[in-house]
Amino acid sequence: MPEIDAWLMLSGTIFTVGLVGVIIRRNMITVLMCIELMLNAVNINLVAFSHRLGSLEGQVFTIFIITVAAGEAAVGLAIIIQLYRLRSSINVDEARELNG
Amino acid sequence: MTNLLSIVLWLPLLAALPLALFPRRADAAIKGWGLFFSLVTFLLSLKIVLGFQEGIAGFQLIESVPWIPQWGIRYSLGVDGISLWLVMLTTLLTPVVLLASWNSIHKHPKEYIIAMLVMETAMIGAFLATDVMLFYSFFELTLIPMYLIIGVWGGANRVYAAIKFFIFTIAGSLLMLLGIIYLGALHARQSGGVPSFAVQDLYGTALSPTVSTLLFIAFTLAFAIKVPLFPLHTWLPDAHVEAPTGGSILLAGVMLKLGTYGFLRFVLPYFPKASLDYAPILIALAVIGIVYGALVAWVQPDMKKLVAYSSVSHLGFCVLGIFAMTQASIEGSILQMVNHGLSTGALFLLVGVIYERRHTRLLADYGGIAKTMPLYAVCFVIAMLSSVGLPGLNGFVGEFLILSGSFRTYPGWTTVAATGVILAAIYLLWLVQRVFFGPITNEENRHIPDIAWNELLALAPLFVFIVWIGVHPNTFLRKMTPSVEQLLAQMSNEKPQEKVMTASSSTKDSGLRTQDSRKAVSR
Amino acid sequence: MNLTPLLEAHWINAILPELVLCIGGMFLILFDAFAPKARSLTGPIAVVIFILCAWSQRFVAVGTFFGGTYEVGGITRVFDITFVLAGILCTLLSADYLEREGITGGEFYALLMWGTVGMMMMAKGLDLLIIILGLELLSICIFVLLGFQRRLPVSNEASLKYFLMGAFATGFILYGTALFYGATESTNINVMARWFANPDVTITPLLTVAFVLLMAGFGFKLALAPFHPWAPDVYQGAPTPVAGWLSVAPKAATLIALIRIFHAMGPVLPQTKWMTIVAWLAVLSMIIGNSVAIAQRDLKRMLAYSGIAQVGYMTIAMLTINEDAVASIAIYTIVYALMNLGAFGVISMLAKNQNDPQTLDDIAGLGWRRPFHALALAVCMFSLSGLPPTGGFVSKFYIFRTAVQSGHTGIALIGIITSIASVYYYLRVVYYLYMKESAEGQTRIDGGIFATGALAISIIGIFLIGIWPTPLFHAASYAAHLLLAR
Repeated sequence: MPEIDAWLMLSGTIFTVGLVGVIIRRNMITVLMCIELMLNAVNINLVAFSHRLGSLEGQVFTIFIITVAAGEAAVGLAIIIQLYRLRSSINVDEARELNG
Repeated sequence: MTNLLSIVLWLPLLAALPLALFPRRADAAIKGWGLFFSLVTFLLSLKIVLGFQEGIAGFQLIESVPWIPQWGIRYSLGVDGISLWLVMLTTLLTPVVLLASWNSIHKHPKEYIIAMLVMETAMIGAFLATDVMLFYSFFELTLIPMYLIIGVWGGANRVYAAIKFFIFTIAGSLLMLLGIIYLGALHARQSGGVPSFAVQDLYGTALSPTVSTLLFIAFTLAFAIKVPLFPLHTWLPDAHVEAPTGGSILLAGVMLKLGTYGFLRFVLPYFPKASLDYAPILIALAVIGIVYGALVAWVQPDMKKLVAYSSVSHLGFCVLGIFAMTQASIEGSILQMVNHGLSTGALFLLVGVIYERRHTRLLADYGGIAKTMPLYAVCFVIAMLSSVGLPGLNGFVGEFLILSGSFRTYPGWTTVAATGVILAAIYLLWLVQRVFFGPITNEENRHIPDIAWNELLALAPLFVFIVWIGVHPNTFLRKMTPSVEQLLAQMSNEKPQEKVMTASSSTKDSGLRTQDSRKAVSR
Repeated sequence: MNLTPLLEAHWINAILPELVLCIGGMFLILFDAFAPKARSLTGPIAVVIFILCAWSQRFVAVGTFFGGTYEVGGITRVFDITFVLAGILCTLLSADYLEREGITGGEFYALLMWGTVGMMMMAKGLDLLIIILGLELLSICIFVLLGFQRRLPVSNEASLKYFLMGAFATGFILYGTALFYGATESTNINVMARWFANPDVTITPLLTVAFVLLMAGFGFKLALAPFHPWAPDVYQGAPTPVAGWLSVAPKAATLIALIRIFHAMGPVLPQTKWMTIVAWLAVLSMIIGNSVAIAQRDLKRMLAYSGIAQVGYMTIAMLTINEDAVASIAIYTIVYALMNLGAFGVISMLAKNQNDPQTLDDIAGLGWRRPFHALALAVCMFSLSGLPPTGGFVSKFYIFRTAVQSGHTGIALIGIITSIASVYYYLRVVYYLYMKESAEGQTRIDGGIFATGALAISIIGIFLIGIWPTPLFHAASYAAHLLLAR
């Protein structure tokens, strides 16, 4: 098996784990972590491609994704904290005010 | 005035705009303003008739400037023999409506007048437009004020009626829009990428049989709903019964004609082959509509509903005349559109008058009111006779031309349609008999104030034209002849077939034509 | 890699509008911090900054900048105007809304501006990296704006929902991007276009997976069915002006980014089924959006579903990328910004507890109580349903015309049929405005001078575009021509 395929499979697996986690987990912190997992799967992909293609773009992209993910997590945690103050719970299912 | 048509078209709308700033309490001023400007519009529109040259088939008094040049859409106006009288009918009926509802609109009179004036502009625009997209814009624009007129000032079940009316009509017209887009795209491709939506430019678009049929269906559906053709008529009785008197008059008088006008202006010349192929179906539906409308009208307990169903029946004649495709039948059909506007308009107005006084439209509640309201009874009988088609009044001329013209191409169906005339006589005479004659059974009917000055004034012009058309129809027919000839020539070019009467033979046969008018025609 | 200088000449002119907004946003926050007494001035100042930004478009340099990652051209100018227009309308509406809710603050407008910068980056990005950075900048601003009414549970919840959905969707977009990068060896759209233009290209299943992931991600952002369920919830809970802005501006930005991507893929699209996927998204959106909207009584939820359908219409035009398609989408987004923000604007004036839904009953009989505001809502509704002489008619006509000319008549037919259904629920609003008697204890309409001004802009714009669209068409089609001429 070529090396790149192994990396792709690894990242695919991690991405799937994150995806499934977002869908089935009800704890908001866990959901947030699963989203981070998805983003990091992307990073593995990009670095692997970057290595194979010998271009730097993928690695630059990775740095940016890490930064963006940090920003997103910060805002996300703030939202969760605010919700916890209002409801004393961080279960996704508790947020049912909106009829959807 | 070189832009006479634009002035007539936009004056009502421009008059409506400052109305919005009028104080709500200035009731009389608002109504007076609206009436004044609708009268000015009517007077200006008389100049269109004076400036209209007989013997010319194409559009006259043309105005044309680019509107959306990227798509080849132009702001182009013009009148020809087909649209001339319909424009006049619109400008005539609007002041009539405003006058008739002088005392009957108590709720939000300002908005009512605005809606009516916007409505007038939209309807005139639809008849004057010689660009398909411009026509479509006005065609759709008529819906908004009419929706509000029915929905705000209508009867108890007004909202249902208004929404039904709107959805029915827009369903048809949106499909037509797709048809227009498709036709325009085809035209642009055939003319080497120069888009145009001018009515005449699209005449020459070559269509494959399948496309032609599909487009024919799209256009026909839109206009058939508007007419309304059986079995798409179900919105009409609801809309009429719930609409205020003024709304009913404009709806029956002018808006329904947008459908028949659309058949003449677009469906026949654009899709001649499909029109010929499917004419039997449409004629069958029209005749079924004639008889069905008449029969249902007969059993209606409600006067307004009776008149509404009589509209279905009368408009069936128009469609019959159009799709019979002879010179006489089409001219009769155009004349009948005007006739129907006048006589049904008068009938709706009169039904409104009595409803205003007694707040019931049930036939059973009346009887013998000729004694309490003699003047009213006279007016009603005149309007009724005009609708029935008494010789000497307008209805006779139109129906006679349609039936004699259609008999040549569709004798069987025409014979059936002729029973519609008899049925009309039965149900309308029956109506008059039950409402006006006999003993006064209901005590409340003993003291009803007779018809008022404003209502009489509103009726007067209608009666003038009812008699004029009946006595001397050539004033009106003369002007439409060349345009109708051209229309038929266009169709017969497309596919020579014995069913399409050539222009000359039908002119000779037409019984009502006088010598001098034929001279004007021979080019 | 070529060794051109890192910064081209005139680079500062290229990003002048973005700079104005960035600095303007910082200024507002500082202004708020140092002059808390003058807090009510932040709204007007924000409007001035947006106008400055629009004015700075005059000095913008056209061309490609920052190592071929940033393209400024006619079309980006058209979209910039759309973003600024949406920003101004939202600011005007918010000025009164925030005042009434007692949550004024400079950071609100600052976030709005930075979000606009994000959208401008998405529109101008010639590199997937820039597009995604713009998208993230935008998303983070939206998360905060949605939750701006901190003490309202619904606002918080809307923020959370959008955050989860948004981050999730970003994951999809990034994964798709990574796969494209692996195949095409670059994230630069021009380089990708060259790769796709190579006649020997084979479309591997991996590329199809990448495309599906990308469309799923952007579908979430656009609220295309079946990725739409977040939209009604988020709109309902969000501060109303923000909901209006969210329903308009980010969609426009996403569409222009997608146009660039689709255009790059142009040569291979005929040999793939990719556009069939997009067509299905459009059809589903039109059907689901229009049919579910009929059942809604909450005005914001109704507009959310109507927005899903409207995006469906815009997607029809994207099925074949040509000049008409780009121009029609540009015009549609401008008109959509005017009419949707106008409609949300009237809703934002309903003075009631914002935690409760704003339903049709709240606007019953409004036509006779507040004629101007009711007229504005009615005009927006007629425009949304595509009746002449409004801008909605012209833009919808353009979309369908484009579709028919590109041979998508069947999909256009579905669009027409579903829009017949849409007429019903738009008309129902008009029915409540004019034909329903107002009950006791009516909801007050609280329209200040700014919000009323925003409505006036909406109405005038809708009619102006509906009656005299030629200048706009001219600009849009010229810009589209330049974009596709490469």
